[in-house]
Amino acid sequence: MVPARRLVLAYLWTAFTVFAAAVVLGVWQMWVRSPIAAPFSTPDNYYLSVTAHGTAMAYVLTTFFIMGFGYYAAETALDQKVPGPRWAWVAYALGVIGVVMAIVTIFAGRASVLYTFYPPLTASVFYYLGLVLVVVGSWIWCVQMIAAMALWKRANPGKPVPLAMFATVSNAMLWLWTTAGVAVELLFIVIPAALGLTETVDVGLTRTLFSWTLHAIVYFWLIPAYIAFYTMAPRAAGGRLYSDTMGRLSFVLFLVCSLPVGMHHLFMDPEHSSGFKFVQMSLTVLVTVPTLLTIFTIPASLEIAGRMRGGTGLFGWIGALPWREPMVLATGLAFVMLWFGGGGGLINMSYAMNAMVHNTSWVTAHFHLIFGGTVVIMYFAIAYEIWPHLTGRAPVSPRGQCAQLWLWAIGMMVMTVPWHWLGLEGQWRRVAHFDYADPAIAGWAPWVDASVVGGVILLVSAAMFVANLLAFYADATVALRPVPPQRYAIAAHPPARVPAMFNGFGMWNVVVLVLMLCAYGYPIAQSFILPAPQANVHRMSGAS
Amino acid sequence: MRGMSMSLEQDDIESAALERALAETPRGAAALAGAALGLLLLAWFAIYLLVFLARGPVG
Amino acid sequence: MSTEESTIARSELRWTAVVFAAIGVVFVAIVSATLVFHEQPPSHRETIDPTTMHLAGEFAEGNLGTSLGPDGGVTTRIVATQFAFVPQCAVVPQGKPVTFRFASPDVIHGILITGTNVNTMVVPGYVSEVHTVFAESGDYLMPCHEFCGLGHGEMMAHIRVVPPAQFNPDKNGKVGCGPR
Repeated sequence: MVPARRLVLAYLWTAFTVFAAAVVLGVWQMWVRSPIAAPFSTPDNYYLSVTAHGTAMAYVLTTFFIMGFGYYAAETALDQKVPGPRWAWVAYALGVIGVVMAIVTIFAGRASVLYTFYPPLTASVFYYLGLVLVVVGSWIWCVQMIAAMALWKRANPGKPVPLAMFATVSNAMLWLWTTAGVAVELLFIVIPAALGLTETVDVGLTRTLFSWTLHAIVYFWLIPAYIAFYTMAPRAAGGRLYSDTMGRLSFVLFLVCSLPVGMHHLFMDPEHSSGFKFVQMSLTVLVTVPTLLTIFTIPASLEIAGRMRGGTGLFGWIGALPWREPMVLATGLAFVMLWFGGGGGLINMSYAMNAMVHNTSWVTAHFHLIFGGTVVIMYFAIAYEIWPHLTGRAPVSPRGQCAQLWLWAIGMMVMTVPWHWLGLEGQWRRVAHFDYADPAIAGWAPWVDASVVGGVILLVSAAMFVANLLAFYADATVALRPVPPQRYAIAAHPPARVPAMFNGFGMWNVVVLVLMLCAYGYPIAQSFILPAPQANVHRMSGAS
Repeated sequence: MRGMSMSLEQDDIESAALERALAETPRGAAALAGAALGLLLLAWFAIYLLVFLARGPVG
Repeated sequence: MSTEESTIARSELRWTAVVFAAIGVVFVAIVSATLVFHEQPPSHRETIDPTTMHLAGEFAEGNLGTSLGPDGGVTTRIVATQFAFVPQCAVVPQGKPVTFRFASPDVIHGILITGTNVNTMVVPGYVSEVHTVFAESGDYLMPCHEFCGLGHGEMMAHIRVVPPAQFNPDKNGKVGCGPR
């Protein structure tokens, strides 16, 4: 069994428990926004819920899952114990204390600023401190992941780092780079304001620092899903990874291209010139590349498996795949949602075209589909894949898991397709009540009702997911003796050596530094060279 | 645990079957990915022309 | 490298070329929208002091709403504040260039005008300027689309686009919505 299994299970159970609670909040929020009368429906409750739901899904589910899966990959892909395991528990404790602090503050009504903060709106300092603790814990994880890879390379000179760990460390590097933006924003601007040490904030600067984090963080969330695509799905299908090199290239491109592009979240902002917006748009075009490479390499990998199972012709391999394997099914469903979610993202990044959709329900639809859909469905699949190795038990049949995955994908599509349409119709965001009596808005009602149905389907699926995990502990499961080791996909032609640039990150960190200087150097410096007038702090915490 | 590391790099795929499959790959993936990318571009251009440009100039 | 391995590499390179061609097409279309069709994200970097803007100057209350400038240009000035727009209704002419200027004395707001590409954030410390031409007359919703506090859901304005014959500024060049 995996030595760090109690650690990994602690992280994952925490992630999924918070996730399940957040799904309930999300469905209630959709009910409130719909024409159907909902209980407890006040703006105060609504924004409290939106803050809780966003904080839970964007900061807790993700960070805890990624850390847990990272510790698992570090042990199983490298066949070596996690260096400094006590530090992993310190990180966990920091994270849990931070989450409790943030959640208690939110539910006390003292932090209804949404997970994107929006200074000069200022919450109680305990909300921000809670998140700081989670991030500090995650930095400990980053150091451990980097150390694990370095130790393995020293023990295995000249050998390629197993892809699952190479990708995990690329993610750790990315996280260190991207958290710098929000860390500076919180430590130097928002927390002093929350403590009452300052009475004004430079809003343009805080938005710019937050945007530094805001795009790459979604790739922090996404990379574990891609780790599953490259290192788990091909094996689950009974085949090989088409190209190990393309896998390494994709993870390197994510590290380099996902960071200097945050300004595409500020296309509609007045504090930046069209020149820098254009530069960051051009770089955003590049970050589509690793995904577009993946949509070829992973189907090619599955094609190997399908053809080995007897599939013939151009598409016969698709039907021949073992769709009853949860990892294979999740990959297929994820790719379908990726077409829609990624396509929506392509529109969001298209410079002036962003005006068509900014701050409408289209944006809400986009990130629920691409993150809640494509990425989270792979989190479920990863959990199903590794739980037997963590618990030494296996379910009698994967049918319950497959049913849950189908419901998740269906629910996500039913919820988000209407939202995309509503966004184009002009439905705006972060509103608890719409006046459905207004003729301009009345036509939206059926679409909103449809998306609520999707939300309810997701709630059922989330409940099934928790039930499927709990089922591992039931008597009906099969005990695995001995517990087999986690096996990752093997490449069609496993490389004996790889170039240094695909086995380490020294060069890529330099590239990132240069790109960040070019993309963010002046946009941040301008706040100090030509400072804009500051806005008064607006306290939401109930205390003055 | 170290002794098991060799077996982590093996699977029970027979190399002749793998070669046969590789001979046909990646025709299917190229067709699938190509179709998906082509449809994506069509959808993007449809929205670009029929919604975005149709809504008038802005700057 | 065995024959098979280089075949794999070649197929990946071919696909990479396809990918770059596809994103190249998208990039050219985006640049064309900017250069040929006059579509830009609003990026007018002009600062204003949010704490004093209501006292005097361009965004003092008497100056707000639509006015016809001496050069014939139509400018609509709107203040976004918690939790209303001032004014809550503005009239603009159909078929003519209109300039919107927004400012906030308090927190971040944002606007969109439904059915159009008019969309901008309103960030305290800055004036947001958006240029457009309304092809169709009618009543448009202009909600606040960025979370600005617990009353965000109430923030709504209306933009009334009238045919040029009905766009009649008074002697000071100002036009109001009048009774609805």
